Amino acid sequence: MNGALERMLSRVLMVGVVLAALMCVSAMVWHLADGTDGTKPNTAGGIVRALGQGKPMALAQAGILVLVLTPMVRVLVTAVGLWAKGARIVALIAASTLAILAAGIAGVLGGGWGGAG
Amino acid sequence: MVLILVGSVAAGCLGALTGLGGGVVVVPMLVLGFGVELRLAVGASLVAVIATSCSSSAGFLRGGFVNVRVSTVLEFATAMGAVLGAVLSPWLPVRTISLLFCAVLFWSAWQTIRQRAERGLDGAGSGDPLAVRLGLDAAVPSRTGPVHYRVHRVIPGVLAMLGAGVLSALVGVGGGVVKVLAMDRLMRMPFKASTTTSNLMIGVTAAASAGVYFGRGQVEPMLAAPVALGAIIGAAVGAKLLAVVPVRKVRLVFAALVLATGVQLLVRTLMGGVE
Repeated sequence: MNGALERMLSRVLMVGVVLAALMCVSAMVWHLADGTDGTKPNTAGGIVRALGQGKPMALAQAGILVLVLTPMVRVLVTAVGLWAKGARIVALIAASTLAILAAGIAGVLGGGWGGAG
Repeated sequence: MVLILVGSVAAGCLGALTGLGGGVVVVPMLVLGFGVELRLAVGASLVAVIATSCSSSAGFLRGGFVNVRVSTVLEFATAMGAVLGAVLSPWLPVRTISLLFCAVLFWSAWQTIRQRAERGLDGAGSGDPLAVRLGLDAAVPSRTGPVHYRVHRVIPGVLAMLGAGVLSALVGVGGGVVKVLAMDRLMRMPFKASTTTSNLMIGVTAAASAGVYFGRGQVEPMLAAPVALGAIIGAAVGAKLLAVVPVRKVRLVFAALVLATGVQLLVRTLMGGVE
């Protein structure tokens, strides 16, 4: 069934994929031109700081992070969309999944899994 | 970098066609073909699975193949299973479970090849009352127009997904395989609906694991970026192919990848890589 929710989810995934791809391609071209950056920031704060310092690897990491977060955003949109359609039980199931995933990702972005910016 | 990109295009295409994600291709390609350290290869492979899932699912959702409600219910069970597996792993005989799972994979590959006719497109038959209550019954496009199907055995399907989550946490593989098999065999969904719905779900499962790898610094940007790009391109091609490739051929490709997954896991288990 190709409904409004499916079209919305398709758009969310497409935006995430295109954005991540553009960032990764730009980072690869930048890195090939520059070739000296050995940094690998792995927290949100670390990525922002390294981007501010003009490090191409930070842009690649940001692109990968966008890709990793895209399915989570998709689950969020699913929960909202199903709730709006009156499918409350399935919407609550989606919200519960999101809570489990968000707890894990919050730990990662905050450096809670041993990441050191 | 170009060779990695090309290999990842193939992985993305196969992953999109079969609903398995393509990690089964990416890890051996990087480890055996390019001498990449296993943990970095797994990190890049998880990124490839997310890229495959997002890229192909965008097309599958537009095409009307994906059952969003089924994916939502099963995703929750998989996430719970992954947590359960992580908690229980110190007390479970992981090596024995891994060997048993290898046997299940080989049996599943054989059963998938043996099944010749598509079944389960029984719009008039009786489904599961729980599926009706949750609105899980849906339709899938075919050459002759949309075909309605009923979803069967929701609770066994959810339990299988719990098992898939536990297996993913314990042995690192099995998520996509168990998802497709549970929807195809237990819940009696059409094969293309099973693979495309699995494709949507594996993105979430892989994202949870990829986040951990990312935080540990085990996602190497100059490796993961070309792998992701290749997988995105390949998955878009695979999504186009799925609409025109006959179900029988998709089943054969699926069986071959399940077999490859089983062989990989068996070798890793016997070599002491699964403890």
